[in-house]
Amino acid sequence: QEDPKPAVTLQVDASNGGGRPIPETLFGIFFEEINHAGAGGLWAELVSNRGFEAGGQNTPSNIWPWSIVGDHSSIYVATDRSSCFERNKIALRMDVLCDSKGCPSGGVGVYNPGYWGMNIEEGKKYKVALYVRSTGDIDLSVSLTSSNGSRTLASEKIIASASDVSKWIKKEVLLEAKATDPSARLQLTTTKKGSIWIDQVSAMPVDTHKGHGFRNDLFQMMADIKPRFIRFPGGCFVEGEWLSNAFRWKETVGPWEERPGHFGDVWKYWTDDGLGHFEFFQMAEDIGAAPIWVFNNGISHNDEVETASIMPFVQEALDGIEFARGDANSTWGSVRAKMGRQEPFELKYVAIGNEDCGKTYYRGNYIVFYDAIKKAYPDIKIISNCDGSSHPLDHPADYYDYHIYTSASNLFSMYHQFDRTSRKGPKAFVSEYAVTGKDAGTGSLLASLAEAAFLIGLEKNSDIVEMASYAPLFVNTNDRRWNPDAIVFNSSHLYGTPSYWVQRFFAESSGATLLTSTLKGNSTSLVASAISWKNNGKDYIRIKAVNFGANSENMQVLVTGLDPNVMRVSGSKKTVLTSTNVMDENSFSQPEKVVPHESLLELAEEDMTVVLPPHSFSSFDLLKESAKIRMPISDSSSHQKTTTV
Amino acid sequence: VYQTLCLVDAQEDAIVTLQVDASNVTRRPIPETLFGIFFEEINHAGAGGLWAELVSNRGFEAGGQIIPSNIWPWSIIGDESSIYVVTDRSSCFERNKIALRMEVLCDSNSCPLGGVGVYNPGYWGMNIEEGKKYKVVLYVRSTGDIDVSVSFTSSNGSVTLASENIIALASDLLNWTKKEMLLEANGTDNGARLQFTTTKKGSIWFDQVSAMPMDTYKGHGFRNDLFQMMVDLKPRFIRFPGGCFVEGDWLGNAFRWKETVRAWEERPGHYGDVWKYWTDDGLGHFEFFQLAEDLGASPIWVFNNGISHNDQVETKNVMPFVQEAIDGIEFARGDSNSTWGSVRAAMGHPEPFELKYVAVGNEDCFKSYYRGNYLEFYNAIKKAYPDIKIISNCDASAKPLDHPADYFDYHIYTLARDLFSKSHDFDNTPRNGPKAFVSEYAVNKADAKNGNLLAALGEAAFLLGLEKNSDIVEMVSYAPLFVNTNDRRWIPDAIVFNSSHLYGTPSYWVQHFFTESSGATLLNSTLKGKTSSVEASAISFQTNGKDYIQIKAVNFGEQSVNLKVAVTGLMAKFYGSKKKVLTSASVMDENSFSNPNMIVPQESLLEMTEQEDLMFVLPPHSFSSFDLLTESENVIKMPISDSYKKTSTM
Repeated sequence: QEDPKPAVTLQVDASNGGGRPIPETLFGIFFEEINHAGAGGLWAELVSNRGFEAGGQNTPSNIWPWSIVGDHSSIYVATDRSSCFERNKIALRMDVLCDSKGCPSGGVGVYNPGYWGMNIEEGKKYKVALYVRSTGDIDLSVSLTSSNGSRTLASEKIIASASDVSKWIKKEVLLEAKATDPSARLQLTTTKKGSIWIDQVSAMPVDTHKGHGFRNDLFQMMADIKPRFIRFPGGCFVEGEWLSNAFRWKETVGPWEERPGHFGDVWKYWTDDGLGHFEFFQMAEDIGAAPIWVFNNGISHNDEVETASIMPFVQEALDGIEFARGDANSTWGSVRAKMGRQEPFELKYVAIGNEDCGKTYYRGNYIVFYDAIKKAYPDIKIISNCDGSSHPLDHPADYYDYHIYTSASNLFSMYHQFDRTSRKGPKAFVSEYAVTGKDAGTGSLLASLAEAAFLIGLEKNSDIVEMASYAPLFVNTNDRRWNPDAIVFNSSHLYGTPSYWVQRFFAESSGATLLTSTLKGNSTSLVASAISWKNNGKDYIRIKAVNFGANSENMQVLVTGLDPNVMRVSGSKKTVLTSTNVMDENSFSQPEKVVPHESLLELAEEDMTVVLPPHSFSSFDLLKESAKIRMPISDSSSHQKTTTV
Repeated sequence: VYQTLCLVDAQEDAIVTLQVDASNVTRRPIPETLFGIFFEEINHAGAGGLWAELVSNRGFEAGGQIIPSNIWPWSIIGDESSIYVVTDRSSCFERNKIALRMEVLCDSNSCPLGGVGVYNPGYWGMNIEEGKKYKVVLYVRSTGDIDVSVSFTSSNGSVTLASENIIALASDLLNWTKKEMLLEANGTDNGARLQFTTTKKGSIWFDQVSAMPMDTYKGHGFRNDLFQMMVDLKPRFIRFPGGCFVEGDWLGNAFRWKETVRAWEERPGHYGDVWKYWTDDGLGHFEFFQLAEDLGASPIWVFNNGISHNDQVETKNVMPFVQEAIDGIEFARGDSNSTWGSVRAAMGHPEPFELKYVAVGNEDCFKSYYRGNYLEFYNAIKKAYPDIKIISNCDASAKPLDHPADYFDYHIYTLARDLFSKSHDFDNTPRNGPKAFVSEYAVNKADAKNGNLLAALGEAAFLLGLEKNSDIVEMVSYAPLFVNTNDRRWIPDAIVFNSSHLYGTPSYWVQHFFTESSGATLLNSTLKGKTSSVEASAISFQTNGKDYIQIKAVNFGEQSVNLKVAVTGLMAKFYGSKKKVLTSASVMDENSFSNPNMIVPQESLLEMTEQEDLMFVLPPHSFSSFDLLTESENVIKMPISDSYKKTSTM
């Protein structure tokens, strides 16, 4: 049968004059402490409320999620303000009322279930550290058990005489798990009568990424996006509902036990801030992404520092930059050095606040920050919260933030959004985008297709849009404060939503070359782009196309302007993201229902027509061949798909 | 002017008859504690209100424990070239580490004329009155000599109302030093501010800055005019300190009594995250009991039972919170040698306070751990203080409680017509088991706006129903009591105030009609006729050795109603005494600062002819009370009036 006539044609100009470099930093990621993304997620600490501070500074306080093993007659547990840590005064006191004859056989004490269960794997090791004090001898079992304590997975004892524990002392034990349980708990039990105080209890898997504290599987999924930048630590997390609950970097450096932690009152959970300023920069480096530090500019959702009073906050930001970039002899650089990092971290981008443009004092505060930072660090690029896409900013900036959360059809139609944006002035940083609402559910194909189209539009407008990141990146399935998200996880498993997989299609775009392309024909539900890029010494053209519609479409690709040395292009790889239903989602039971499917791309020389299935996002990699070799070559081994479990 | 009733013109179908049985057989005592008040720290009722402290964020703690912090509402006088202001953690107070550091960069040659420094506008302006005295206390530390002006000025600093200088040598200020001064105002300004200024170069630290008027009620710290309006209700109890304020959105932000006793400078203060403002907790546990004593009202202490709006302490972890409550009772009632009684004694009150009622939490009944936690509290308190009456948060009006309690909380916020109809809500409630404490009621939503006549009438009818059901409803209080007009988080309210003025809403004035009810005698009464928009009650009470029958009636309708009162079971003559009517031209009318007495009870002499039947006119949309002086048949037959001086509201 004769093939149906192509409905649309993508005209690609591959001539040298027709291309434009795509910014090296175009596609990155945005990490915010939201949905327990860090605490109970990427940051591998297993203990929740490790310092007993989450219940607040008034004693007695709520010790949740710690709980008591034993009843009223055998144990009394209360918090007091007796810790040795100046900024973490709350400690837990256990009065053991029974003795070895009267106590239950497993002893009495306290346990911590972690964040919805600790993932303990047979054969793996966990470093438990804790501070302890007592008026008598202690004999304390430190154990990892099943969620109800009935099965012991690992256990060690801390035995010490009264004289050794009359003052606070740090104890460390290494526990090796004899079995696997994704919802385990850490318990501290004893059958010895007397009072014991406990504080700053940590349980860390030994096998984190590079030993830097990041959970391997979550880290890997981030790295697989090949992000060129990472924006952190928020988001609204940076602002707080109130300033006193904002993320403040100085409180998050130094030894982990000394960090006060804080209640993030926008996303409404406590963080011990083990994932702090230093760890964020370390993460950026480990991923190979440029850090974009977002700091508070004295503005929260409910209170603001007047510009007349802002100078101390400006100094705080300058100090934060010095912490990262200062040499090891500088005031804050030396703090970094003491934390194990002599060499400065890279830091070229900072954002002054998040979504604060409409606040009373934003412009006034911004100018003070801008002037001070440019004076001290002229090379640092500064990002304003005010949208410069429709009319010019009335203040100096290198970039402006652009955030968009909308329905699928609306985001699809916004792929032209920056076509007519002025190219003069600051560049755009689309630091948050997603389809939300009923279109997205908890991460649907429909949402991802609209996002794909939007990203293609940004790619084609990357002379004005220099950076783009999806939000939010992570959701712990037990704390779905914000849906949808890119990566869904629990204590032991994870999967990417279709929106995650869309981003993988753009892994090669940053730093590549945009080719001028035009879609001709009836293309209301189609969006496409063309880029050229190099890999392993080979030149490729990548065509990406979204078919937002319910019908299959044939698209003919006409490539003109190839270099005389290139005789032709041939098929390499085809990647397609689609599913039978536009509202299909991935899940723990079906983590790969909607994922890209790769296959070899076979193309006839005379007619490069490709089929775009209904509701699909496709990419086609075309290998440019030089005159010397006239045979098609596929390089499929270089694109091994990463397992998601 | 005497009200003359013309019986001849009355229409038969507009007559409603109140049959009152005054015989000893059917009359019943009304609980001594029936009508009281509920004080909650909401709408800046305490901080910036009843508690007369003028400085807001006096300890620089409201901006949080992370430095630098927001110093709001403190602000800077001077620009960046002459002064640098920042918080640090250098205070001498262990639980209040934040202090303010002022670095003066200019000197007497280059500083602006009035100097540079900081100022505090108080809570939407300080009320400073000519001739009155204010005690200013502050802690100061410096590395050099200081010469600081402490002044009350107009809001922009241009007019000085009072000023003193603190001059001290560096050697005297190496350590934190408390400074006190008395400022006498030489002008009046109700939007004033307190400022510290200097032209001396160097660094000065400030902390714990207080400005208190000298003329608070009995010197106990309560703003006189607000206190008086509470007293005028003759409350038999006061429920405190909340309300949701007790729970917190999170336990970390709940009101915790131990943090609110001892020296005011040492109290950490806290951010009440339900009503969303900071309190320094100068109005603390001790002050609440002092307030109850000053009012002559029984304290009802509401404490947290380990439950907030978002987090809960498991029952098995709740023992430390139970102990905290027991300690709080000991603080009030323990003798001065007891652990917590001695803290009270050290604060200036060696004699125990009265405390007979405690409430275990507020509106927590449906929280997972409420019943479990409640039993721990109940058992521990009954064991230690068997006489204390315990109030449960669970509503027993529809079905019996499944746990022991002396009272159950009942809260009702609804529309005016709905509340009017709820006057019969407790008619059929079983009389055995715990009694009801209607601790919060109000008409709200669309009907009430900021406090209008319509709401007041709905409430009046409801209260008449409670009065008649006071064999099951033993205590009643309206909510909320106060609103600072600058923080109308919850409307309507009973009393509206700003820094210098106040007025009662119609809902406040309704409560005035019930000041004689507590401890009085309820007379059995029945309404007959077209009663769909009328509600009434009858009580007898004594004052100044005289016996009265008081008839109270709500006409919720828009037509005038003739109320015929038929009293049986009493061999007595009735003489008119006083008539009181609350009404207005429009049902949505409200009082305001510009028209504070638009809707207030209008008192007049009640003149009556000698008639067998008593007939009263109830105007449209009105609440009326009629006080009938009763005398035995064989006593002198002349009318006697005993005027009730109306209390000024200003």
